[in-house]
Amino acid sequence: MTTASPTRLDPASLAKLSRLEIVARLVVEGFISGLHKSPHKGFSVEFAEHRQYVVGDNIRDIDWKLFGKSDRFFIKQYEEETNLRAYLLVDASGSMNYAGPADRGRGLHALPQRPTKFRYASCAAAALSYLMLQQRDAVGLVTFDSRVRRYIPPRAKAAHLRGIFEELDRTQPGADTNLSTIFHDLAERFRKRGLIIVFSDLFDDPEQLANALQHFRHKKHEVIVFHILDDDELTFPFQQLTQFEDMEIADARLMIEPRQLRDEYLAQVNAFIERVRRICWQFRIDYVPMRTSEPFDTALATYLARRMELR
Amino acid sequence: MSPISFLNPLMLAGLAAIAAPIILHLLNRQRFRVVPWGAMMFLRQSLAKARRRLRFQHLLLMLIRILILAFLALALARPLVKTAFTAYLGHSRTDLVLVLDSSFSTAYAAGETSDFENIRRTALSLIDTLRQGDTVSVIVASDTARPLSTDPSFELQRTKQAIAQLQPQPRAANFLRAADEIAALLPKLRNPNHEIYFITDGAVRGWGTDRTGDWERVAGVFAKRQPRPTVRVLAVAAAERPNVAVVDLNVQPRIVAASSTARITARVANHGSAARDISATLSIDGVQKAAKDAHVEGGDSSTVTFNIQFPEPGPHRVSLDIGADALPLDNRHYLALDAVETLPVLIADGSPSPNAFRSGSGFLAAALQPSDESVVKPVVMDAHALVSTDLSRYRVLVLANVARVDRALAEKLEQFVVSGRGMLVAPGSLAEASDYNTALFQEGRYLLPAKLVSVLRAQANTPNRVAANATWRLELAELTQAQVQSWWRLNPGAGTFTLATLANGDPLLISRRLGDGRVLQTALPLDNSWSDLPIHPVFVPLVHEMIYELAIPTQASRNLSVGDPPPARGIKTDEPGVFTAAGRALAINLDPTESDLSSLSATQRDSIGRWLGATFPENWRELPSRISNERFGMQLWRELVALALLLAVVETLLTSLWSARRTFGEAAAPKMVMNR
Repeated sequence: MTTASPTRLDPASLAKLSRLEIVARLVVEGFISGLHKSPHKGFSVEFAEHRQYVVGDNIRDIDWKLFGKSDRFFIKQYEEETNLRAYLLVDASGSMNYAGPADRGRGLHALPQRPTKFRYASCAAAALSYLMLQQRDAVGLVTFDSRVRRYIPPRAKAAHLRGIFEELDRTQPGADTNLSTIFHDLAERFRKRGLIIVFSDLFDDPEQLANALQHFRHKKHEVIVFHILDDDELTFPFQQLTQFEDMEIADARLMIEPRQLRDEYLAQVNAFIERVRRICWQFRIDYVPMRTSEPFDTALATYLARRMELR
Repeated sequence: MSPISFLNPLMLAGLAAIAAPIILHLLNRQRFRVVPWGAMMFLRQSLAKARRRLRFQHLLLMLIRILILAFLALALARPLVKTAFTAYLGHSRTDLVLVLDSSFSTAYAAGETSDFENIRRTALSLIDTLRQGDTVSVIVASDTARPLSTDPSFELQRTKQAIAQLQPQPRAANFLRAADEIAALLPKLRNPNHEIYFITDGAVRGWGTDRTGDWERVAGVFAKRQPRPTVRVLAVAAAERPNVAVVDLNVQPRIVAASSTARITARVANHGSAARDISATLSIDGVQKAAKDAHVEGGDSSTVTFNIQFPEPGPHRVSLDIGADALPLDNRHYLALDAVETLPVLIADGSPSPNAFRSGSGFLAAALQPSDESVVKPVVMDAHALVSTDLSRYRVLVLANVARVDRALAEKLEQFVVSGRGMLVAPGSLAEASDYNTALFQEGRYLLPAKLVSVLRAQANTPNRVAANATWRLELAELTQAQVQSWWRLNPGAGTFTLATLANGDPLLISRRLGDGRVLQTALPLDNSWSDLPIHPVFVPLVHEMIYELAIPTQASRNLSVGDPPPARGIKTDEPGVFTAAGRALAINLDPTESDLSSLSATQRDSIGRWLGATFPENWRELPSRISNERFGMQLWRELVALALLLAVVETLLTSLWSARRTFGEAAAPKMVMNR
């Protein structure tokens, strides 16, 4: 699922998104209202720092006052003020690469191939960033597995969208997950409070995950968890003897007669989902379950609509 | 015998099939699909929880599958369990094989009941021990051993009726043949318990204990049978059974002339140990003619002779009776003979001469008819007239130094001989070897016994002689006195008998059977041209014996044994007796060896016991009440198949129960649809 995917902002998706935008724009107002005093007072520019002029800089930006004092050219840098600072945390660990077994549904019984969870997460993230940048919100991106792979700081520029898209497109899910450590790390790193949107299967110890999410909340971030799971992971439909190979740890494999283990597995999964749901409820985190078999835009729109109702 | 045996041990190889589930079990570990999987944490947790349960299920299923196959293989091998425990489980199905000695000696009746009656009663009481589902096969062991029915019979009542109607056969016993019949019967026996009883009078004859090779072959068949049949030989007659029998009856001379005196000799054997006095009565054509007393020592035999005249020519029935004893059947012996008025002999002379003693036939004719009363009536004629002569009047034809024989004449002669007459060929100096060899001999395909090779001559002062041992039938020492100067070297063809030779080893007299008739060929002419034989007194009995020998074939075919092939249609040879049929007398006698009633010796019993795995129970009267207690043993195949089926059901239930979670479990899948 590494080739260019049709799921990614193709005309159909964009068409849906534009409809979504109408819904979302209404949503955003409620969405943002708690965070900003006035979303409609324009995008004032706040001075951030000076830096030395280099050839090619816009002469307009030169601080002539400072030139008068110091006889040097300094560029006046501004920080864009945004209504919202959103961090998209996209899990790129190995397990996010799951899209069902390669041979699933051959021939007559061929089923439509599902996207990998990562691809699904990327699309959702891209759609959200698109949506938010449309509204001049600042959007940042973090991809991570056992460590932070890439951190794109939040920007409100429309051109920023491209960078996010390219990053999402370029990223290959790889190593082991270490959600809680990374979340703790990020919680410290995000100085300014904002909206933290997590796209992950959350395959980690729920207690540590609870700690990490609590850390975000402690830092006054608002957190939304998009819990992305594949249908196979929820229903365990395997019949014949199967060797399950760990996608995150090389050479870790289990030989299993799926039918005999199914009950235990489903019990485990259910318990896990329930635990995560309770954690989210506990810390007032929006918990959004997503199945890769369902279109992400519908899922997003449904969520946003519900959120709008709540506000 | 071990308590468990297998009726079908080959099927035990099927036990190897239990390897199949084990191999499948192991192979199962090889054939799998590979799925890269993200949610390993749940699998690990589940596995940790389920591992013990899964291992137990796997092992249990494998065990059940192994047991199913093992039970099926065991069932196909048809195990038979014979232990004291299974005795409580009841009667085991039995195949009973009865061999009934029905030779004529079983008619021996020392007391009120004959031995055969005892045999029959024993057989019936053995059948009475059988129950529903058992079979019985009855083999009547005379020398034509035959089963009463070709297959083991479940109809015990009908078999009993058939046995009740059996009578001793006028035959000798032959248990070897009966054993062969049993060997053929064994594969048809389906019940787990096989019992074979030889019910005999205990006599040694009929067992053929000297035919070791044949018995070993039968023993091989019996030994292979699983489980081993129980074989018992019952001797229901008394061990000591004195018996006197007429074992032979003959007449001299062999050609009986009407109105001349013939000597009839009977040999009486005493098979008991005590000496016996007997009174022999001779009857001719049903009329008692003479009687004589005789004394026979125990275990010996003696002869009784009668000089009798047969006034009438034609067939005569002679019988000798020595009175009744416990076994009357063999106290009578029969002889059929044909008294002849004349024995016409045609002598074809190759060198006729007015002076009879210079001709080729003169000495012969004179010797054959020493007086007018002589029964032999020789007629001499020129050999050239032979072609046009009607030969049917003559019993014997002599070719005395006949020069040439062509094929037409040879064919006529062949017909003559084949129709039951005799021919004597005495070639001399005139005989054309090429004619004889092509028209008469033709490498043994025609009637002549030997090829004429060449004429040999002795040195003048050392004549050849007749070999001392060549006294063929005649105890005539004088024959060796004769001097032989010349002789034909004869090269006998196949199927001939050299009856006499010369001192140097060359054949002198060769005989051959052809159809019903006979041909004799000499190396000399029967005149004085090549030897001085005719001037010796022995010449007269010699030529008579040769003529009798040639005339006798008709006599031999009259005296037969029971069971011989009938000489003509419509004549039966299955009862002893003497009778006239189609103008000639026929005597049919019992096998004289069957009259010897001596019992099996201990070593002979051992041999039979070894060959058949047989025992010789003494108390055979109690046997029927005893054996029914031995018939336990259980065939377990039904139970094993039932067990295998039961296990198959259990296996199916367990697998569907354990994998049924697949269907019911669908509901347990987490509902992770979007909250709307």
